[in-house]
Amino acid sequence: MSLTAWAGLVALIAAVVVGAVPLGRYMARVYGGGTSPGDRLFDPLERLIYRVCRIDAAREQRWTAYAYSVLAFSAVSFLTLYALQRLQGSLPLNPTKAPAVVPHISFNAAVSFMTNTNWQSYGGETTMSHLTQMTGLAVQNFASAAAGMAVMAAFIRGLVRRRASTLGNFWVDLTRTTVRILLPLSFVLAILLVGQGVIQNLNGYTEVTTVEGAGQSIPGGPVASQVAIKQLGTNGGGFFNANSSHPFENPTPLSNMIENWAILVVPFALALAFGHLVDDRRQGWAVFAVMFLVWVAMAVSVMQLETNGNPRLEALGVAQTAAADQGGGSMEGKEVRFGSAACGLWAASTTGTSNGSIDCTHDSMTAFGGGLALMHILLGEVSPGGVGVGLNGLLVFAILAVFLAGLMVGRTPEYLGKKIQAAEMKMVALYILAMPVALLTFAAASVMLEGALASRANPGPHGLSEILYAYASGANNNGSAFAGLDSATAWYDTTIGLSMLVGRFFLIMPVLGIAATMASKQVAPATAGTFPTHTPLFCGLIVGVVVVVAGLTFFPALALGPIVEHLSL
Amino acid sequence: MCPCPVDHVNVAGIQPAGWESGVPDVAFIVIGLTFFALCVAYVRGLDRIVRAVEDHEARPDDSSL
Repeated sequence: MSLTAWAGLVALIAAVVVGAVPLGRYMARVYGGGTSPGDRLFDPLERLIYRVCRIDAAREQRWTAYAYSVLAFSAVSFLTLYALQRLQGSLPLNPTKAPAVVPHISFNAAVSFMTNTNWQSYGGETTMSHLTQMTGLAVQNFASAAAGMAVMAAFIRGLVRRRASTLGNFWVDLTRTTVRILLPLSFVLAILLVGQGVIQNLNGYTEVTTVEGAGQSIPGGPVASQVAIKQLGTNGGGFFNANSSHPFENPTPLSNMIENWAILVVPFALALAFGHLVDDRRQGWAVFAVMFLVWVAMAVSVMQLETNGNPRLEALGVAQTAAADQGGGSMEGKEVRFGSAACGLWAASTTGTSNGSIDCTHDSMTAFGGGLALMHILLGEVSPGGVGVGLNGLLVFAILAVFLAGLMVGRTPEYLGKKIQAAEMKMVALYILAMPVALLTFAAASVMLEGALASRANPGPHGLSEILYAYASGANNNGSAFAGLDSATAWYDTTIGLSMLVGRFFLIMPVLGIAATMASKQVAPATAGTFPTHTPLFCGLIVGVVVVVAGLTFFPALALGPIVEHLSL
Repeated sequence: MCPCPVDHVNVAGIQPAGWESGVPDVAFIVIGLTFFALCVAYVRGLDRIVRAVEDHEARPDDSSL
């Protein structure tokens, strides 16, 4: 790996830490109640929203009411987005004259954006009208991210509160997240991106004649505003089909770095916000460290694999070493303005954050490079994970780690002073099992159906990786794709849509349930026998639990896909 | 999302011949709403676990006995 690549990685890490520390402190004040910076500006706006929507901001909700609110909001979002796509041909702001989207793609896209997955089985600029992009997809980029962060706030309240029966108010958390965190950050980021050349207009196609004399249609649209929230909200759905490898979405190496920062900063900041909210910053840094360790290990590994190149191509005499006219490494499917190392870094960030955007083709990565990207998703999106839901996942693994440690040393497991008992472990088990069931069931069905197999771009182990990646991406609400699989069929649109639903809501419900049981408990005083949960030992234990759970669940499938592919090189 | 090869992309947003499954809108809406109904049932099931814990925690502490 070149010095430039290492410098890029170090610069990104520094920028994320510098951004996450104050942002974490700020978000803790947003969720912690009381005053927070910007009250003068945001309070009147929030009061207006509460009045219009008839929300009693002072009224707290029991966990069931909180969960029903999440479900109701998501159901309405799903129906609205579905209708918008089906009716877009008759609606305004459609300069490209995009017709109605077909039912199964509408279903898939509505579920995808509502669940913060942003899997796209369509080409954005050719399928969606500007109205659908702006009032449907971009709105869901905010709403789905805010819903995930709201659930996280409720979960942390459950860990903190004592003998309590409520977890906050979903509508208030949703509003405050959107108004005080996502909107201001997105506004600033969109301006920065426009400065780098990301387009922001309401144009349709501009017809031009190329130097060869051929005609070409250059698409326009409100791109910067959508790219900003798609990265900050760890959504990932591209305005263009080529997503963040399109020069109108990600024009320069600097914009690439800024967008990569935007993908990571909120999830890492939430870990630090957690430390502030539980009034023990060491807990926040411990969670941060676990997220960071896994992410940086993946980043260095994938960057190294992609810059090393493909040995088969080397044998054919294809130059893969860095030279004046190329960055070196495996350049198939890579953008020449970013290179193979930046692709690896981006892939590690997006597959660890449930962000579906890509700046290179994952299908073209080396066998192990693509396999690690897949593995990173299969870890459960906890490094650092999607906004809100990533921290939820890591805290669930922390509870499991505490339980296992308690079994090993024969003590009652406790996390943040709360006893971990049978009820919590039942819901932890339900949380951990839901995603693999949704993923492996549909993937197994797909490899047995002739029609589904026909969608592969490649036979053999790489074809299995394509199918596995698609359902891994759906069930983990990631949204990125290996790209070889033609998923725009009724089978894949429907089953990946169901995977996304299970991966979102069958994980959120147990999390809120755990929050409720924890909130009802009293805090036990720490003694000499209490297992500390802020130490390097505990961080290592969580990493071990995350890797072992994913390894035991998915190793057979990975062995038949990327591992066999690598061994056959 | 991915930069799909052009021959794998639904460039017009409408399926070519043979793609359209014929599944009407109502079927997909029913699938979606049925899932949310299932989630409501799931929450009710989990609430039985939660209420058992809450009831237990609400009992007066008898550890001194």
